[in-house]
Amino acid sequence: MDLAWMLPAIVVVPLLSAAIVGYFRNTWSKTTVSWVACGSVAAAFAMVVALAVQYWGAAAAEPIRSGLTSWGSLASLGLVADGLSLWWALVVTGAGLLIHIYSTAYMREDESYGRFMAKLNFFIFAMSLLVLSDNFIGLAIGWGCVGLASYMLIGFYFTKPAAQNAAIKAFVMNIAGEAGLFAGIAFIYANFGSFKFDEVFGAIAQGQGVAALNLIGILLLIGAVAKSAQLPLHTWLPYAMEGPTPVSALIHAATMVTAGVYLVSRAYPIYEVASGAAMTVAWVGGLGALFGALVAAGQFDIKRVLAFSTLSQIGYMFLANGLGAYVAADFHFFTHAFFKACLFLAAGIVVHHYNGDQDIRHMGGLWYRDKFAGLTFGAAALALIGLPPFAGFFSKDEILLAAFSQGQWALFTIAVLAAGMTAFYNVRLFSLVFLGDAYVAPVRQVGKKRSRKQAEAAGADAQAHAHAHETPAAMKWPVAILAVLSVVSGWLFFGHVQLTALAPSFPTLDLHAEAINPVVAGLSVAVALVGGLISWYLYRPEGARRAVELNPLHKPGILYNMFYVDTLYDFLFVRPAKETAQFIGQLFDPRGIDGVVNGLGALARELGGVLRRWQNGLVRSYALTVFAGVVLVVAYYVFYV
Amino acid sequence: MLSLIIFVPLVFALVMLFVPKTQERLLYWLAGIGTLIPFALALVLAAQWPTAEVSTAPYAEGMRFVTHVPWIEAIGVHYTLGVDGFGFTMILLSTLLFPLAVLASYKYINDRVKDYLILLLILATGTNGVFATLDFMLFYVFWEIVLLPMYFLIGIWGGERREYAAIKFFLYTLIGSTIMLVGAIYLYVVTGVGTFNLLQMAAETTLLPITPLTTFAFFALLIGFAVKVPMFPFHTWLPDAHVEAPTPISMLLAGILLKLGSYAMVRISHPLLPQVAEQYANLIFVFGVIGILYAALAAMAQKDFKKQVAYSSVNHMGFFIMALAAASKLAPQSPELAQVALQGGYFVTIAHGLISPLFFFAVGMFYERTHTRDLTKLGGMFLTVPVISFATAFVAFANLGLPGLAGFIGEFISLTGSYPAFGLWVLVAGLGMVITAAWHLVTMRNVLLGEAKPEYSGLADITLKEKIIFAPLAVLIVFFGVYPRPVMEVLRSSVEVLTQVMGLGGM
Repeated sequence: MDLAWMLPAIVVVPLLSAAIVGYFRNTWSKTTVSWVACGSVAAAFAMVVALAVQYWGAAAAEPIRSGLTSWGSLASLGLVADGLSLWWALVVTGAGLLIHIYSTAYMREDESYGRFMAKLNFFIFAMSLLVLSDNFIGLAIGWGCVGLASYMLIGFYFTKPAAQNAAIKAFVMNIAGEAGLFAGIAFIYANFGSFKFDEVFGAIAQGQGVAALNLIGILLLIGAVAKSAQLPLHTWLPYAMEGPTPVSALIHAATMVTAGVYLVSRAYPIYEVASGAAMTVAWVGGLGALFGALVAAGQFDIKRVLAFSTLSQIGYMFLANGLGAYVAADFHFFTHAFFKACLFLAAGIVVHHYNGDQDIRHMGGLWYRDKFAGLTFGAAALALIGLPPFAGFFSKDEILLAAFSQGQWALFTIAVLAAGMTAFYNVRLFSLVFLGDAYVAPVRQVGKKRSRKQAEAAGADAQAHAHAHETPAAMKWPVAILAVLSVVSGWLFFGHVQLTALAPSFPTLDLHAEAINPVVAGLSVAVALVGGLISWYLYRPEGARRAVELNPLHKPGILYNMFYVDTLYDFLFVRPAKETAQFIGQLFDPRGIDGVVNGLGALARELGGVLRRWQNGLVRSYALTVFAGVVLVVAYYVFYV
Repeated sequence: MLSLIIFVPLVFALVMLFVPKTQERLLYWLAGIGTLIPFALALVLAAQWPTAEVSTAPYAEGMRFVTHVPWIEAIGVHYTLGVDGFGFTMILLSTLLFPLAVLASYKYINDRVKDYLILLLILATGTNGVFATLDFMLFYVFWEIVLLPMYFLIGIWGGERREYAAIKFFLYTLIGSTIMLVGAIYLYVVTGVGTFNLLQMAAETTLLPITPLTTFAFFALLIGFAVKVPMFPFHTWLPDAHVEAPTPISMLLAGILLKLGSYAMVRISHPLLPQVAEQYANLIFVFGVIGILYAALAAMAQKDFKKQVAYSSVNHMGFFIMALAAASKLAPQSPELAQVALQGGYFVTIAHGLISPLFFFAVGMFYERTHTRDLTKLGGMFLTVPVISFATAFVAFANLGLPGLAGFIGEFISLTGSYPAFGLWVLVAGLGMVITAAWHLVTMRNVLLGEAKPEYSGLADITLKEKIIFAPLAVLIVFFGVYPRPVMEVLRSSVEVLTQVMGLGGM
């Protein structure tokens, strides 16, 4: 059966739903909105599954193609379902569906519920377009639209200044990345005369345009780095946590931020040839993995911990991509999507218990009140740490193995250290949130900064903390499913399964399934255990470091401040740009250039008394004057020129 | 047909002279019909476009819908009309925007309605004439016809500093067009071709050697057009003119009048002297790119909403200048890439012609309600007037070049076409895009986001009139953003011809 029509449908159905839900957001009931919004994503997911069955079920995996639109002679934009795009689309629509369902409960009380669901639908459209496009333009359009979705959803609470600024920051950094991405695509077109993946990669396979590939690879990487919040364009991600938690789970953990990983995987023929660009990818990833894990250990906002953890895990994916282990990168994306989405959604449940307070210093002992949240969060955290048999173990192992077998010792060491840090911050996070004593707000402490009113409010908060919330089923089920996937998706898809799924998209590579290497696996697990134990020693309920950090007078250090990169960027880029703008807009343009013009103008005004008399209204109808003027001009040319 | 498109508004203007000025409704009806008829005619031509006969006469080679009548035979001036893709897309744009501007004026312009509408119709004749003519003298006449009504429209119905803005506009463009006239007359004299027909002149002038005088002639033409575009550093009339002009006039100014300059470049300066254009492509590129960056920065520093949007016009037209420079540089070696650049650059002008009028209209909707354009005073509009705010956000994203909308395509293709010519220097334009995005977002935050301001509570949301103006442009922005093929197809042969000419010139 020909299922090609499904490809445009996957993209269009969520878009239509976004428009319809957006239009009727205030007239429809919330239940109707939920059904339409979730239904459209469910339909998209079902179609992706159907295509996947068709594609992987066939003997010879033949990509399924469909047209979409045309830019005239310049380009025709189409969609394709092949191993890589289906692999990604499954996660995008699948995890997307679960998070939509979760949102129906999580966001239901919000007065802008319809607006939220419409924007979430729009994101599914954009991300599907990104991964299903068969050309660089379609990818770029999806790329820009996911950026818009991210902007709209980070700034969802648009009356909050923090949310507004976070949204702007995210969008501007992504545009900076897009400038690089577009430049890369432009160079691709200049060298290969096409935007289509097949044609470009075919030309590369024949040895065309090799000289430009390193530059192209670096330019594409700029786009990937900005979108995936990798060093040095990562500073928007922690602030993106201003968005509602389902958004953080779907966009800023599971799917959108991994788009950079997709881009490098998709453009693998470029990085296969461009070894310099590939090594840059690997180092960006490796350093990001360690940086993210370090900073995550110093954060107090539960979602920021997870955000830096995302940065770190995507760093692993970049590392794999840079080392040519594309399948490993895509596999880690796959497992990461589940366990990180699970962590975020469970964190959403946690945060609901604390009435939206995200500070882990204000939590503690939640395990004894909500075993479900603790269990799911714990399972996903173990997957993130990468202990066997949890999902992250298998995918991370492949990445470490790639570094190991290629003899990239520096990168291997960094990656293993990052694994240790991953265990460290996870144990810290889990212990602070779920173990120990419940936080008691210091009601009586009325210092200089705390007014009596605030203290009372905090006391009321503490009381609110005390009575348990019942988590709705629509929130529990998605979390439970994701938790199960965090446990099983590693070994279920390890080895041959992921390889058969993805190999057709990497036709020029000689791929074969690797068994677990006892040295690598043993080392990473050992380092993780050490990191976890140190963390446990410091942050267990009676741990010394825990007491220090829970002390209200504790001044957080360099990790909490994210190595002051933000401050540096503000100093290097934001302020100079603003000052230059002030100089040009307020001084140079009106005084400099216009000064000359006005000087000439003053001169002309002296001479042009005639014009002024017209202005003073000596002639009754200006229109007549103009008409006469036109006639005169015409007559002049007719008779005298 | 082209003659009808040009002169129907003028005929209506004449008729309106005899309508008493108290009959405002009737005057609006007449003006509406007088601008809608050309639009309908242009649509008819659009339907005929694929099958229309393409002229092979030397005076109109490659043109469609040609009219050729001798006019002043002594010096070889003919009444020659005809359009290719460049001209026809502009005629469609112009005939679409004029009825919308008339509608936007309804109940907005209440003072001396009759004079206002008559001037508007004369303006329509002038712009459509410029886009349709193939004879330089005729072109010049229409070019000057545009100047006068615009001067009065700003000077009489403008804001507080309208006289200053109007005189500035007038002098700028008058000086520009005088310089341009000198350049053209020099070419007429030096070739001795005995005609002002642009195509026949081009056949001779492209063969001229690059001398100081031909260089002068080229820059005389270019500067005359650059003032209109406006190209850095000839742009300072624009922010003032926009700020002072009433909303409908701003829409026309940004949507069409700027395109007179870009159109004239692809019709006159570059086809006539491609050899000089190629020689100085780097210089023109530098001015284009500086314009992109400079205008983006200048816009960022403005406190006046409308002034920001005005600077963003300079920013966008910089992409056209950049792409045109790239095309003239690439044409001799790699015509395919030159075609890409040119197509992208011209698409920028079309997209800008759809987006910027809408943006000015959005600013006008806020101004009409709040009586301020001060960005520090506006705020919280999403909670006050949600539909208008949504429309504004839409057009702001279109303006900053969101992929999927028309603005993106032109800029993306311009960049794609310009990289081969200028390499990584084009990243400066990319930097301009980043800054543009940044200030759009900050402006949206200041105007739309945040808590509703009490002083603006109870403002009326979008009206039917505003919806009617908004809808067609918004639909086209989305449509051409998703499916630009029709425009590309109309442009293609013109782009091919021009790159061919420019390629020959550079050899």
